[in-house]
Amino acid sequence: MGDAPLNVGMEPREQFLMPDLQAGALGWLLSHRLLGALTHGNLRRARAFFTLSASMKNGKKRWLP
Amino acid sequence: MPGKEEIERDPQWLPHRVDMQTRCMKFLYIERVALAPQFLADLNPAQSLDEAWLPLSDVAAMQPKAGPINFIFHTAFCRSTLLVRALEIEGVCAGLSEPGIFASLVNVGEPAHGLVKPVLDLLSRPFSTDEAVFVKPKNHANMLIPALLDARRDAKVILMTSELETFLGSIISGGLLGGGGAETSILS
Repeated sequence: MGDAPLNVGMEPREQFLMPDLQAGALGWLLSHRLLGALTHGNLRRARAFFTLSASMKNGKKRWLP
Repeated sequence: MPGKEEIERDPQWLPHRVDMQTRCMKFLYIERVALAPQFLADLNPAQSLDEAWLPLSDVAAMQPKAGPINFIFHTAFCRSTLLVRALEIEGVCAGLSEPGIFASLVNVGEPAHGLVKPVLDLLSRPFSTDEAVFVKPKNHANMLIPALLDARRDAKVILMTSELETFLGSIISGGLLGGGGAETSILS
């Protein structure tokens, strides 16, 4: 089963040469941009926005704006 | 070989992949009890009890008994799999983790847009009366979110993410496609 491509507007060769961390960070930023747009728009259907991160390990939970 | 009517009626027939060359959609038969422990995108015919192909025109014409559908959208490595598995409560709601059909719809692109609503209606078929469905698409399909929300305006959404540092740490430990990252480790 194939995965959906990451489209960051780069040349295919440049994108192919990106290391995993760089590609991952770009994908993360794109997703945050999209999810942020959803939460700041008029999407009343988005009930919650969690961050479960390193701070969660200490029993803390932080809500994003 | 099941007929179109049987696939339309039984929610255990999950849409799995689109083939634009043959203009058909692949369905896999997955029993309800087998939903929770696995990423549906990784299923292959050997792991499903049966498989079937239907013409896209038949899929688009389907009018299944759709039920409530809710989404978990996420940025990966943020415990979204843990949540969808926690929401897999028989008789209350079904948690579908990363159905393969979403990546397929993204890969096909514009020609598949007319299939989004029929696919969501098929995925939302309740497994029992009044049962809701939670669907967690793979984060690779996040670009499909606007189309998904437009197709099912009744859907509720949970958005999940993690800090970039934690995310990158998960890639280092588990690879970009997961397998040994944060989600796997907390579930194992």
